[in-house]
Amino acid sequence: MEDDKYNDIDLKFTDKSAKREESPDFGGSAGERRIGQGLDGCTGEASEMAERENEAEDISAVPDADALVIPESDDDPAEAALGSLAYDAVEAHYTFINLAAILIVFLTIGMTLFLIREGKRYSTDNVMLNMQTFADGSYTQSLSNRYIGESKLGGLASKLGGLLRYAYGINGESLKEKPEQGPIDAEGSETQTQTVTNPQGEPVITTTPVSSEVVINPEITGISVTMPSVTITLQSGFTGVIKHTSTSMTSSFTSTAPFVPTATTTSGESSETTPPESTPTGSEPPTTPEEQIPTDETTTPAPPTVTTTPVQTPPEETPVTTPAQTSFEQIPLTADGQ
Amino acid sequence: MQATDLIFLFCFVPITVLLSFLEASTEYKNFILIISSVIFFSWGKPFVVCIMFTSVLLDWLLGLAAGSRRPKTVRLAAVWADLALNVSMFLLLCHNGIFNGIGALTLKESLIPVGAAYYTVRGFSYVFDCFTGRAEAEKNPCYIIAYTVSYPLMLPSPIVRYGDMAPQLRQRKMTGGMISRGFDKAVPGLAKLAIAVPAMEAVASAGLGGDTVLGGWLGMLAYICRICLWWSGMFDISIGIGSIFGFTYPESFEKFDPKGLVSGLAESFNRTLNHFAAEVLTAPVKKRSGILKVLAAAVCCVIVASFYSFGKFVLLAGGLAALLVAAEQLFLKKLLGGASVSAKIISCIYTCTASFAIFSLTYFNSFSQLAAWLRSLLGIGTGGFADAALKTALTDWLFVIAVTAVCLFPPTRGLLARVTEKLSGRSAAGYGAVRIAKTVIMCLLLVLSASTLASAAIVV
Repeated sequence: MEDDKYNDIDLKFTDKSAKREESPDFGGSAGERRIGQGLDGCTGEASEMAERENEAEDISAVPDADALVIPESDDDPAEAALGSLAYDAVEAHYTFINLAAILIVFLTIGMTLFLIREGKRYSTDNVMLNMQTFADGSYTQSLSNRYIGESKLGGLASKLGGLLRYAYGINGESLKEKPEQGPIDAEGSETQTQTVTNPQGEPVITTTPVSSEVVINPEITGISVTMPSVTITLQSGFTGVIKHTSTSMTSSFTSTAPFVPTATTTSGESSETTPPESTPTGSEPPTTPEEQIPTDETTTPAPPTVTTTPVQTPPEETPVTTPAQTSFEQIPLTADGQ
Repeated sequence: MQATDLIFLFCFVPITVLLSFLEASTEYKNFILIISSVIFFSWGKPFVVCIMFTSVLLDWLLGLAAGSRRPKTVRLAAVWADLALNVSMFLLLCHNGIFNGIGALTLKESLIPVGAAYYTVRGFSYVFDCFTGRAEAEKNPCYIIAYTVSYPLMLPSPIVRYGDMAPQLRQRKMTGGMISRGFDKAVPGLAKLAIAVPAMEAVASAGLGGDTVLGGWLGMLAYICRICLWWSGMFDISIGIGSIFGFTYPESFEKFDPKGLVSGLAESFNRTLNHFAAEVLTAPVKKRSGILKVLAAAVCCVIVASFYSFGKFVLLAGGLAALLVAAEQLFLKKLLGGASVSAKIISCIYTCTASFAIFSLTYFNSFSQLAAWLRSLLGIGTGGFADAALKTALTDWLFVIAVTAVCLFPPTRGLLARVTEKLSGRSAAGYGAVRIAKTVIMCLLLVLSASTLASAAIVV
């Protein structure tokens, strides 16, 4: 069975002698000669035949049996042939190992991409096959997107890639300085925190911008602009996340604390919290300022409501706005977060 | 579909290879290649396939005319007609931006990548070879279709000539050894594209985006490395996939050698394309003076530059390369080609400076940006030695940059090659250890590249 595999591996060298100069001297000693015998039956037969021929020649040349010596000359063609066969066999052996290993890795990745699915067979950008979608290429493009988009390996590969990049220092995740640990937004990415204080007694608003991404993919849509997602955290425990791309906008609000409408006044070094006059939940215990201030390590849970509003602006004309402009223009914030 | 798409690498290629493996006959393998190439090109742009196949059939007919025993004027007319056909196809599919303002002809994007448009060059090379007698006119159009549009040949691959490929198209064998060698070639190519190119891109954009001395120098160096890595990666993938399918191509990308001056740089960048362009241009002036040959070489530089882009600055870069190549052919080579150490140093400085000048023209879009970059190189009116963006980019990609530098820098590369050769030549165990180490590195590179591409696909 193994021999069949080796027969499939057709190693043709145009200049074997040149190749052999670079290769180890496999035909040089009896011990190394066994390599060929062990790996390839044909090689073993050839070496036996060569040895018999050598013996025959030596016996005829030297009548004394005690003085029988197998010549070790490099010029012997039989030795050269033996070395060549041994070299071919060893190279075929490692070529087979190389091919098998790479194929296993390759097919594992390919099959995992193909078979392991998230379960949602039809995503939101699913395009039905018809003449129009086929002609304009949107159907095949959606197939490409679904291939990776619905695959579990996407997330797994991302994690694995992150680990490997961490281990090897690629993209410097191990080297990046993290001076302050920002809150984690809905996407799970850590963001830096920027606090805006207003001395006029308005609520303290914490914005958490992340860097904008411009993805150029001429094969798909020309230029798609992914705007930064902005997380806005109020001291009352409400978190608003807004994220919009060139084609859609998503905003969500989450609450991480029991709703106690308070008005926070920040002036100078001290902050004073004044409960409003009409407290709707009068049975609840009064909250102290320390309890109301969210910590940076707070992880925002999954948003209860997600509203997607398609924007009809063509990609070329999508205005690129700064994170701060986006946050304050798109989200009608009130003190109670509604 | 692109060569770095996951669906291409881990779905399309394995299925095609498996289907090709099922039957030993070469006709069947060619049939599978043609069908898979139709799918490859219709992926996203189905109507392009109709245009491409029509042009390929026209190539076949014109090849028959160019290779026939008819009068030379008829054969020459066939060559000119094919040249016009393929140039118009190239302009339509790749550089249709030049039609902006012509109304109905305006197309916002190129329909197929420039790399895929190599088929137009290949189609013309076939007719040209039929005319010059380098290849015989093929009567069976299936071989021409398989030669022209097979997707292993359609990636930015070397310009393989039909005369060299015809025996392989008629008889080839997919063996374990060739598949193994194909993977050994394609996996590092994929790693270059997926890992090393983004690293160089990050350093280039950080360095050239700022206004610092180190950023100016390192940014341009990284930009040149990025282009070299991209090209060599694409060639490696192309040659690797070709080897998996049983084809053998010549190398088209050579390592940069300062001894060759700018002529060597221009030639080594895409050797097969440059050789073909030079052959076509010098064909009419074979028995004439050397001046015409120099002019042909200079025109060749501009044509090859326009193959990649019709941008004003890219054409300017081609023009500068043409000027330097012509000067080298005429007198510079004699001046700088001395054997002394000082001559070698001067030629090295000249080549590096010329390379910086040529590549900088392809990077910047205006003279003001170019002037700002030149000022930053000299440290005039800059924001310092290095800014935070450059430092971050360098530290972020430190490992990849170090490995890439070791692999690209000729002395370290030579040292690595000598060490592995010595180790593998010492004993059978050493040889085995080296081979196993290479296999492990290949597997690691494959996993890293796939995970990087998958992560990037999620972002998209």
